[in-house]
Amino acid sequence: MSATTSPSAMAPGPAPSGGGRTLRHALGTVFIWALIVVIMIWTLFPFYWAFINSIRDAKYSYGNLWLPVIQFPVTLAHWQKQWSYPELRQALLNSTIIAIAAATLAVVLGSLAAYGIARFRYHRPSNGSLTSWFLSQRIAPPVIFVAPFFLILRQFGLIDTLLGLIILNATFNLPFPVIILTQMFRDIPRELEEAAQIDGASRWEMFSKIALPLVAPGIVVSWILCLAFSWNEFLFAYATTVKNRPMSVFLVGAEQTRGVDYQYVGTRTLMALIVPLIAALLVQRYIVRGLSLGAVKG
Amino acid sequence: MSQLETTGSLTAPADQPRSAAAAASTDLRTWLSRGAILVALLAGFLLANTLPAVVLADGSGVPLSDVAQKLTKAGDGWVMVLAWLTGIIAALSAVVFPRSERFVQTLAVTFASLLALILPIFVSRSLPKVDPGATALGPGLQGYAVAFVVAALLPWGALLVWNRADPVLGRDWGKWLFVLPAIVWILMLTVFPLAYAISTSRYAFRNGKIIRDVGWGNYRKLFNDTLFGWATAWPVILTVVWIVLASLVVAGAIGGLRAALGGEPYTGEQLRGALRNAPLLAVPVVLYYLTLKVLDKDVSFILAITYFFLVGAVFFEMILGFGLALLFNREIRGRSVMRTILTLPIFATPVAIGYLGRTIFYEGGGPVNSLLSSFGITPPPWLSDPFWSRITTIIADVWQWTPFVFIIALAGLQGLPQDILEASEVDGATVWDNFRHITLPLMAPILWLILLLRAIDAFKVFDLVVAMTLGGPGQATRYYSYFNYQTARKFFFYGEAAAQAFLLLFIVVVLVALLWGKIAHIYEDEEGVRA
Repeated sequence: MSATTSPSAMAPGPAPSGGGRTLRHALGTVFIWALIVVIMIWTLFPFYWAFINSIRDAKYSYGNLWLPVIQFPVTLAHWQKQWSYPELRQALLNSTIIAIAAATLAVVLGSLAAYGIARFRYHRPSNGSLTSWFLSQRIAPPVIFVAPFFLILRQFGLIDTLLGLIILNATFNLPFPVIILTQMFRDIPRELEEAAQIDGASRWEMFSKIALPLVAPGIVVSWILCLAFSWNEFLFAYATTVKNRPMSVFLVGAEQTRGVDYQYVGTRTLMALIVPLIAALLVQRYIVRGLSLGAVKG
Repeated sequence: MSQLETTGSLTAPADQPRSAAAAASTDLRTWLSRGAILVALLAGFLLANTLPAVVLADGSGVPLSDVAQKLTKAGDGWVMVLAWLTGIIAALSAVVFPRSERFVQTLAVTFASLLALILPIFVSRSLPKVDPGATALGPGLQGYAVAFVVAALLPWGALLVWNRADPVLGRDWGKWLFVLPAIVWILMLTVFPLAYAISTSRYAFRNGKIIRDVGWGNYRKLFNDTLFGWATAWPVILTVVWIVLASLVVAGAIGGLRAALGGEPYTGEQLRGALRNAPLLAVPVVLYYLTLKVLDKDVSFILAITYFFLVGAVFFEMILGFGLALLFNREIRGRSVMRTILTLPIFATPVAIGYLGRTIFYEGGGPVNSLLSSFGITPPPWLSDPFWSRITTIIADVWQWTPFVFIIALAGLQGLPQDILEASEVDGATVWDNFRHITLPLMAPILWLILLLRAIDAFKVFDLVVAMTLGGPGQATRYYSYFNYQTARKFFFYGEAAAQAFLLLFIVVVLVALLWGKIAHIYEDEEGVRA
């Protein structure tokens, strides 16, 4: 879309004279770039703050010191010290297991449902109501489920287990693969599958051998999206874990005593943030559709 | 899986044309088998609730309601909820599926009614829990079991014998295998917990154990006495009526003003269109008024600060996000890099951000304070003052979610038909004209959707306050989700927590219903398969 719009086409009004227009355009460009710099600083500041604190000694914490090497010496001592805690390594491992398993489960269930909704016509319940059935997951505030989930998990002995959290995260992330993949399956030309059908392929083969490979990017993206959101999940992990804590819960474990120990906070938050931030860098193209419930094409 | 291979083309017609008489006869047979299933389910329900469910050693019986009470107090209330839910699902699937989908109907009815057998099985296995003298299942639960087995078998009879179709499994049943796993998953993990929460909300808990049935008591606790006496309820009802009337007048007046400014005649058609916006004004005002007036003072305070957070955060996110999207909706070198960087906050773990925020806004020399001091500004008490701590949480939320508004609004702007915008520019329209008459109307559904998503998410705010303020100072940032969480997991009042959660769900559903009309048509072309 944007490729068809030249910058000058967006400039206001019918141009009265060439000179005024250029000046206005230049001023606009300067303003935009100033704004970009401000926004970038505002957005990246918390990450940068955590980063510089994790690589400097506590005595450099105060007094507007912003540039490593120039204003203060760099040290990796905090990273080494934090990494030496077995509980922290266990928490990172727990988060990894939960996120990978929950994302895989959600994508398996979601891709099947998405193919069904995209390819077949259901009468009652109709395709539209099936879609809203999956979307409605996003509407209920999760705190509603805290009491019933806790009681049910307790009943089945799943409190404080990774399995319990895997199931919960898979449930709450199910809408994302359904939304992203439904659209992608619809975009595959129907003729490809019909040709395979003529060659004697079963419906399952049409799905697994033809449609699925074609939406592989969508599968990967929705998997990464679910992975990041499961990693970030806090409410249910906080409500149900004591020993098997994932990283998000482990992070706030010592908050009362270490609230202003910048080095400690900086190092630990960065350890928690690395996975979702990498995920964010990998899924750029499909973020918009996934996050807007499929209403806006990215 | 051989059926998959013999099915017809991907888009089989729903039913082959039949003669009128044959159609009437199949309709009759379809409805007779549906009716038989419903009768069997109803019989099971009536038998279980009228005859004794469990018999004791002395020959006397215990009714199902007492058994249910005992099970619930022992912490096994989920069995009753599951029996109810599966019974309802069996009845619904008997009626909902059309004739051409009889095979799936059969599977659903059988699966649900067999799952409902968990009640007699569970009771017979835990007789001592019900009564120390219990010996066996009574005629009530035995009859229930027989009736549900019959209900599970009936659709097979219809499918294979008296309402037989050709082919037996229907032309297209394979398609259900794709959606069923996810549907069953959500039934078990979303619908069932919700049903369980409804049943939980009837009970008073102590130390996480049910102590007694309080009926509507947990919901009653959410309210003060205002609505429960005519003398105090009348003024409230009158005020609500006044608010509704006033917002109708205001909406009409705004419509008139817009017509007058645009130099158009104000017709009845336009008046009706303007009045349709009245709920947008009336519903929030009524909600806020009722929150202050009829709710218990704790709940009312918590909801009021939650509204404050919601309105503050969502207002700034929408204004900043959409404003930036408009500015950056042009060719700029490095826009995709900027977009990438702006997605980072959306994905950042909220707990980590709250935890970092605690150090960034630290009042004993944190970075924000030392920056402000070096410019000679006295920093506000970020986290120690009730008002400012709410502002600080709003700032953190705005930091994290303005990029969300920006990215989606920008994608929406780029999806607008550029030829219309260019054509109207050629016709001499100014930037403001284009914005007012083309961009804004076309973007409205997307903006409403973003607003709705952000408002729902703002009600969910939990991680941030746990990590940043722990609801403090005092109760200043104890927003509703955190308050609700504490009722359940700090004080172990699960019943009260469930009732509080349903109040929140009610408010969210009102919000969704209010805005859905503005959004729905985005999804309209998504209905069904694209031709």
